[in-house]
Amino acid sequence: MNTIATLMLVVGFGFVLAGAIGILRLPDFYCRLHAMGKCDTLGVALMVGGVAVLQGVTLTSGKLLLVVVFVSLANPTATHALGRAALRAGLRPWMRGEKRS
Amino acid sequence: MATRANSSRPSRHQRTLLATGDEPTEANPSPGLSQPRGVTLAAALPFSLVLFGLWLLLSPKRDLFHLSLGAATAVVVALLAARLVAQPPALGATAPGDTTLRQMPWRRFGRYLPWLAGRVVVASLQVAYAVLHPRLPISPRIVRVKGRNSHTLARLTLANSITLTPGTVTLDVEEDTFLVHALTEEGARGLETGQMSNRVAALFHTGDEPAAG
Repeated sequence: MNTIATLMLVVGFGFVLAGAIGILRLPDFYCRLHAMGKCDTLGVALMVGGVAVLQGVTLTSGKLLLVVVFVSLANPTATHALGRAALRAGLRPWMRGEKRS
Repeated sequence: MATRANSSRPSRHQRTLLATGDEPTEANPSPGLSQPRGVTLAAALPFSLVLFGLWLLLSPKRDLFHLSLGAATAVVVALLAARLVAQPPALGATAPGDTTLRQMPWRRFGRYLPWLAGRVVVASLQVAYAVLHPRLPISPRIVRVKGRNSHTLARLTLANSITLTPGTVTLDVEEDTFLVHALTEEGARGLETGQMSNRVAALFHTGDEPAAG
């Protein structure tokens, strides 16, 4: 049980780290959305899930799983809302070959 | 819109109104959310049960006072929110024959979710690979994808699924066309195969209907 939880925590941490690096490295707003929306959703889900596994089958782990459900609902919604707002505000997406801002 | 003592119990007249199809249109705006017109206690029961389950999960106290408090809260919230559950999601123009959240095929949705979860893992790995690669192998682009789903709930599910899966984020939805930002060329090509669109169509059984617009 401990091994599974540790594995989930470490892998989740890796995804969150990749997301953070992505936000720093990617060239424009839209691309950064990808790093934020994907890696962080899975990363947070794995980490909180890992804590739930560590906790065993209790009321607390049920609450933790609820956190996972809400994060995975809210994250893509927020990602889409940000992207749509940027598009409506007229932000032009970066294309390959352009200078990086 | 005056508050009546028995506002949770609709009159027989209101129930007939509901039966004949009380469509929320622009010309006939729905009354305030605080007044669940045309909502019976029985119709709100499934949602109250879900809410009560949530209460049981969140509240560790199991004595009579707290349980009855939870049950009462669940029923009241379900009644107040009944209009929201009964309305199609506000996503662009509402199409005729729109489904509401209550008509969602939850059982088939349960089989769709594991597949989606698998796609999310693949997506995260792809984005993580692209980000950690020294040369940053991305070629971002915006593509238009035509969905085959005519009704709103299906389009909502597809839009959210696109956002979650390999290198694509839905930016906007116009009628049945999705404006999608793809991080890589593979991501854009993956969308054009229409696999996900077909999955969602199968989920809602709307594959043979002609797409609206």
